[in-house]
Amino acid sequence: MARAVLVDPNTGRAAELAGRFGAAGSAASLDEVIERIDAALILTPPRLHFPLALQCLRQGKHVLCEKPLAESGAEVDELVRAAADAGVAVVVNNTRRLIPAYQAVRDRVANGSIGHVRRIGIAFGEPFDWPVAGDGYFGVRGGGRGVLADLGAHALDLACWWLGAEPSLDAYHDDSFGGTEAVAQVDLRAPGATVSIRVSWLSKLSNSFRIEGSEAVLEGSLHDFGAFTVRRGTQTRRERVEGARPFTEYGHTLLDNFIDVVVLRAAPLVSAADVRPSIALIEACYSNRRRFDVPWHEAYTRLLHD
Amino acid sequence: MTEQRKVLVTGAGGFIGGRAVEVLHATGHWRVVGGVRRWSSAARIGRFPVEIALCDVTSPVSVRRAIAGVSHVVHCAVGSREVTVDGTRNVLQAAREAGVRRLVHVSTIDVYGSDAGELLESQPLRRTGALYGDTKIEAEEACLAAAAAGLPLTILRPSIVYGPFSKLWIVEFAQRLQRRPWPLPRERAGGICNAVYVDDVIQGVLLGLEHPGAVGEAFNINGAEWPTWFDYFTALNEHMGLPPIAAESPALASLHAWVTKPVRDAAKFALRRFQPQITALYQRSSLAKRAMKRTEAMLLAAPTPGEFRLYGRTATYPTTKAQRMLSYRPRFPLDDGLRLSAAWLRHHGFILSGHERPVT
Repeated sequence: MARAVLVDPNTGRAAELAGRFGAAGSAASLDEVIERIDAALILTPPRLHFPLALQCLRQGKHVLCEKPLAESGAEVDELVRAAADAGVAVVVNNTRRLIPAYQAVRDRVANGSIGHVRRIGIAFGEPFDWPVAGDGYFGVRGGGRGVLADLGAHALDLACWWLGAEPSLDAYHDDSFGGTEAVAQVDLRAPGATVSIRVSWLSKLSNSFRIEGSEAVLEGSLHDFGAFTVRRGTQTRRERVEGARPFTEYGHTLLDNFIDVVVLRAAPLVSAADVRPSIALIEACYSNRRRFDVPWHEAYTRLLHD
Repeated sequence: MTEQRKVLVTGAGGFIGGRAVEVLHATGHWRVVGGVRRWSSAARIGRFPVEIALCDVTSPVSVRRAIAGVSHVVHCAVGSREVTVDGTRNVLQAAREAGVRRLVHVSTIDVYGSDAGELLESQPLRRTGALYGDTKIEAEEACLAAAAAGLPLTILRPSIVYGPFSKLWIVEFAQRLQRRPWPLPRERAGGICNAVYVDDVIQGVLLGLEHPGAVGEAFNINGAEWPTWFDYFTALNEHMGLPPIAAESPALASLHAWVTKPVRDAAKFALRRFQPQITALYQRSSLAKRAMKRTEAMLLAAPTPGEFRLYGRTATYPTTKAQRMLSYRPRFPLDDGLRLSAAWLRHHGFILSGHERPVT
């Protein structure tokens, strides 16, 4: 029987949740418990993923990490090395790879049935409503990495996975003024194809994807896990895919997989190597960030002089 | 600027509070603390390197903690009676204890009730039974008591505040304008709109924080032009690049409002009582989903009888006092404010291309 310890600098909260869910205990820091554990679930704000994961792996603990796994390609490489050295594994919570409709889309692209991919477009956005209990998500405390590291980590991973290639960065724009960006636009380029990704914490976007191939177009809603549309010439067909479930259940699948990884040495459903291309792109985005043209913000200067 | 002052903005997750944080930070003259009720409402102000603090105005402890070390306060938090009235009392109390140098309370023209004509600051405040206006009167009364006890404060009474991030007057109208037919004919929207661009309200906030003449006073904050509501809709429509409005007939429009009222009330009641069941049905049945979406679209498009009353009102709220005492001067003509708002709408994906627009 596995026993869990909850770690959070907010010790009151950790103790309360440990009591409510029957965990074995709680602690203020990883250092206090690392000797006593076999595996760790890292669910902190993004900038802590890499240092905590590395600490666990170096001490021979398996890791299930929230997305994004790390902040750079080099960090992912370091985690992969540390895991190999210690003989443990990393599972990454890029759960969207488990969704049947998305998997079917990937198969269609991979088997050439839509021809050469010319363009991928993804729009993913909702007003931020995650019930975060601390200030680690935003502003300076958020390390200046906002919606791109959050929703963008899903969208970029899907784009790379669907494309089956690592596109290069064309341009990156966001609305950070020194804090965490809340809207971001990523433009990528691969041989013969472009990728456009828009993510937002401030408004509901179309929450859809569109993959234009030379032979057909695939379209779908990011909230529909069991269907998508294929347009070929003037014909449009809706494709249904078996096995769609509510979103949270994919998290359970990944947890089950993690237990198998730890106990049975099963292969991770989503590995560190799998997400390396999208992590490298997020890194490239942040090092090439440019601000959107935002005249409605700059307009305040009119108040300062006559 | 010899000393950098520190200002707490309550309600910093909201429309006016959010903009106050952005502008105060951008001027470079202030250290800004954005006070939010929940961390999840900090996504907008988190784009700036400002301090963000939990400030649940309904909790005296939370307010006291947020106000510690602050020299100035801009009080924008608003909501239920508990937030608007008790919350304001808590903020005033904490501000007095902390020895705050200036406090700006953002009130509303709704404190004048629904009278017509020119409504000046000397007008008696009038309760109408509407929660928003009535609770804002109580909040102002608390402010006056605190001012009498020595707290240097200023009350602002902005009119119809529009601009980026305005749900009420920008986002919802943008959504409505994209549904046709447009349900508000010129004849039913001839009242005065009293539109003021959000940055002009922030001008009032800056004056309230700094101007020696602002202490102990209340000021109307309004735009420079007084368009009709129909002018406002058509100008927004044009800036959004939509086809011209062809409205239904006045008689049909008000019929539509009254016919949808029972549906609206029933839907509100049902949602309150049966939300989990309705949500489950919505997710399971595509037929139910389509029916609910259609009803929602119809309700969104049709104005309520209360809205028709607002769009027909002819009250104005002159800013003569703010101009005379504070040199307030609105900097954003309607055309500029709506152009900026439309650019913001476009940026956030609120303006759909032709084939995506819903038809009701």
